[in-house]
Amino acid sequence: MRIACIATSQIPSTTANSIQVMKVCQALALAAPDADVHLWVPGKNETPWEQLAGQYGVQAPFTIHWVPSQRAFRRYDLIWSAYRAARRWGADLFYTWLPQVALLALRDGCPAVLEVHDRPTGRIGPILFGQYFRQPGRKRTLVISHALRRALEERYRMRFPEAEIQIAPNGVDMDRYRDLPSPSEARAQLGLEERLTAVYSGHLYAGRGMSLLLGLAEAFPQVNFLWAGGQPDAVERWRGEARSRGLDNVRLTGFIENARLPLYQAAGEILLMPYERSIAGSSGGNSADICSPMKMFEYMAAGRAILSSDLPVIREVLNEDNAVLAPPEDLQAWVTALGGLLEDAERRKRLGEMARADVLEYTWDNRARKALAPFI
Amino acid sequence: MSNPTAAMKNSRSWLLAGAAGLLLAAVMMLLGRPAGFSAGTLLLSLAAVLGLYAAWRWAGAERALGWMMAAAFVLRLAAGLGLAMALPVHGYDVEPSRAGYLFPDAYERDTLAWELASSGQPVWKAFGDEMRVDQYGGLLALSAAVYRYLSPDLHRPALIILLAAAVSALGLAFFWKALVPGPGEPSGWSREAALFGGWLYALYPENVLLGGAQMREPFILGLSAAAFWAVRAWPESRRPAVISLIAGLAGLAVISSRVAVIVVAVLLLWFWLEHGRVPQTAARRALLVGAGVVFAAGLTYYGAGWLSEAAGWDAVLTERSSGWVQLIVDTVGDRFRVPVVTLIGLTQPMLPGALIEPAAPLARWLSILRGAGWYFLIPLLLYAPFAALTARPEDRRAALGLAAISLVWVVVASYRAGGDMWDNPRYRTHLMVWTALLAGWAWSQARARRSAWLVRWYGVIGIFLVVTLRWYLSRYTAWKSSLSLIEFLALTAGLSALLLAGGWGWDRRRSRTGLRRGSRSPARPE
Repeated sequence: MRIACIATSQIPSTTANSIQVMKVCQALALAAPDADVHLWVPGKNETPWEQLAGQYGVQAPFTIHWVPSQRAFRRYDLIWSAYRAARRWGADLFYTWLPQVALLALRDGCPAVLEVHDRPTGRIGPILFGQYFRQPGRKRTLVISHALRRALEERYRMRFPEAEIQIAPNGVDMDRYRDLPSPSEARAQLGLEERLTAVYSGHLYAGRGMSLLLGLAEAFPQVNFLWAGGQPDAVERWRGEARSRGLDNVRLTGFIENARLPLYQAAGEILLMPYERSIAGSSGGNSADICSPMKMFEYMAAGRAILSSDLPVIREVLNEDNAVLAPPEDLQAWVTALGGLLEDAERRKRLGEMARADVLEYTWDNRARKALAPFI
Repeated sequence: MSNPTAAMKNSRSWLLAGAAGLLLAAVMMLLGRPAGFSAGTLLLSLAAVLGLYAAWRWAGAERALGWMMAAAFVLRLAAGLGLAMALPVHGYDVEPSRAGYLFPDAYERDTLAWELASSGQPVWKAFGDEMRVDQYGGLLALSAAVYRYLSPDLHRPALIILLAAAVSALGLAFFWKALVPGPGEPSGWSREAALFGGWLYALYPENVLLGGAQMREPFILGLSAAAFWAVRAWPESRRPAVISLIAGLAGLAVISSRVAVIVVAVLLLWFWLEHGRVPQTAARRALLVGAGVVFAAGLTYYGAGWLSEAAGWDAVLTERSSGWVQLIVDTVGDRFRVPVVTLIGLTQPMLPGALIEPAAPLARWLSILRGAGWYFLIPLLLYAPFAALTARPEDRRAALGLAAISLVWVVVASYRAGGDMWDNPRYRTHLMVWTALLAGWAWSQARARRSAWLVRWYGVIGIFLVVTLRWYLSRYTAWKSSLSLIEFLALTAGLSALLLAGGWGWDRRRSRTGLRRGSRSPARPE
């Protein structure tokens, strides 16, 4: 079986969407060992596989094609060139993040899987999504949260047929979280100071709760706060902010290769996810009510206690048994919650183990297997 | 004191119009699906015929206009009702066709309109549905209202066809009134231009097919004709013009806000062309240019993003459906994709393709008619700007402006919809009022000047058609003598250049000979 994946993510880059695309393609290759997986993305220059494997933490190779695309064409040149190349290649199944590609495939009688991570945007994107929806054919729509499914169904005033939809939150690659060192060992490996540590990993975009993290650092000077990730300019800005507040317990690492991220997460006794009520994604827009953050599954796989904002969409996965949930943007509540966790090692252990058990349901492999099941 | 004979005549003519309305209702009830008595059909038929009759009288009650309006109305109705009967039997095996709709959009909207009408929800719900369907908005609401109040028992798609045909034909009254001055009114464009343009409006196949369908275009045409008249009549009949302008633009905004914005822009330009003067001082000229730039910037901000995205998608669809386009883009390079698709869009609907490509007989005949209509119009549009450049000074500005409006719009439609042989010609009709006038004016100019250039442009288009026909024949028949892209272009361009250069040389020679012999000067050159 030939699976053609088409995405607009820039690869390589540090965006979450590019990581998700790479993880999905690897999972497809693993889920269907007989399948040949090719990915088409925009770009002019090829990047060696070794570099991608390190940056994205992927092992199973698949073929990537970079297709030149001009901004003026608003990616429609990529859509057509990639689609045409995939057709010529003899794709049996299109796996895409673009409703336009799924629509073309279905119109040509080819099965399609469409991943939907947000409400369709752009001027004609929403209309084309509506057309995709109404287009008959063998298709499967992967929606990352129940909340997003409801949002789409409400917006389009329709119901997804159950056989065609899969609620597919983002996932985790469990292999990378096997045999993680203890927090102390991880800190030693990373050359970090040996004391209780709370880790935040991911970008430092608006809505990620960075101010709240600084507030926590002020409230708990005895705890190290490790921020792993972020674009260089954002890292510099928050470093300056921490310095100006006289905080010496905040350490910002900058961008961390995905392959090394588990070690950084393992270095914390507590993993933090202080989303605000409005979250900016790498592609803009507010995703607080529909998102499925990859870091949530990575945190769970790390087997550490998670302290997260209590958002309805987060509750689709996290609950009081596998995490501590605190109201978003409420520093006092977070101080209380973190204080409770810091004092109770046994509780941290219990929460971490439960999270690790629960996350087995959310592996990339499982997700891919379910997505491909109707077509294999 | 009123003349009793005239009053009697007047009453009789209204009675006759009423009788025609009744006859139409009877025909509609016999031929419409479902057949049978319907009070709504009776009411709408009477309203349509009496409304058209009233409009005809208002526009001057000339016999030529009467024939034009009658032909437009009857042809549209016949096309709509005929296709609704023929398509389920002779059409393609796709849902819209099986249901008797030529245009998938019409099928989609009409089905939704009936759902909305029978749902008990308010009809204005139709305005909030862009996410679900792309056939949302005013026409959906109007159709739902018609079904709810005039046909609540059964879905009668013929009612919307009737309404569309009437509004489209009504536009002719405004078109005529704007161009042919009544007694005591200042002179307008030539009567010949109005006649030709009017008949083109009435008979142009794309207009006829759209006018007999549950589409936005017949309403856009009728409403923009009302606004067109308003601009023309502004100095003399200010109050009716204001009412007509507001009604036309409001209607357009409800039917299609995007088209309404375009029509407003065209009307502003049209107003200036018709009534404006070139400012005398540099400061005023700068002010005028500045205002134009600001308006254009606003228009670009409003529409450019949407236009380029939609154009991008349509370029994809064009390329997907045509190996010919793929070949050309592969040859010239990806970066020329949009210009190539736009150029190819200008050739749609492709007449030779319609003649040769395998298709069901009904679909073939429709394509042939649509292609023939477009290829009849192209030479007039090509000739018009040259005629405008050499027009009398007092006519030149308006003629050039008219040519610019029409030709730019043809290109924009082609950019927007590319090689889509349905959407692209459909978008062209949005400014059909101006295009028809331009074609009529070009025709009248060619005749007045006894110019051979219009014939030569027909020759150029003929060459293109013959060479393209040859390509289609080689592709679809046993005659294998295919031309490469370069050969195709070289042959078409070479023969066309020969014809045009030969014509130019011939005119010069004739002009010199004429001057030597002291005969009266030949027609003005183009």
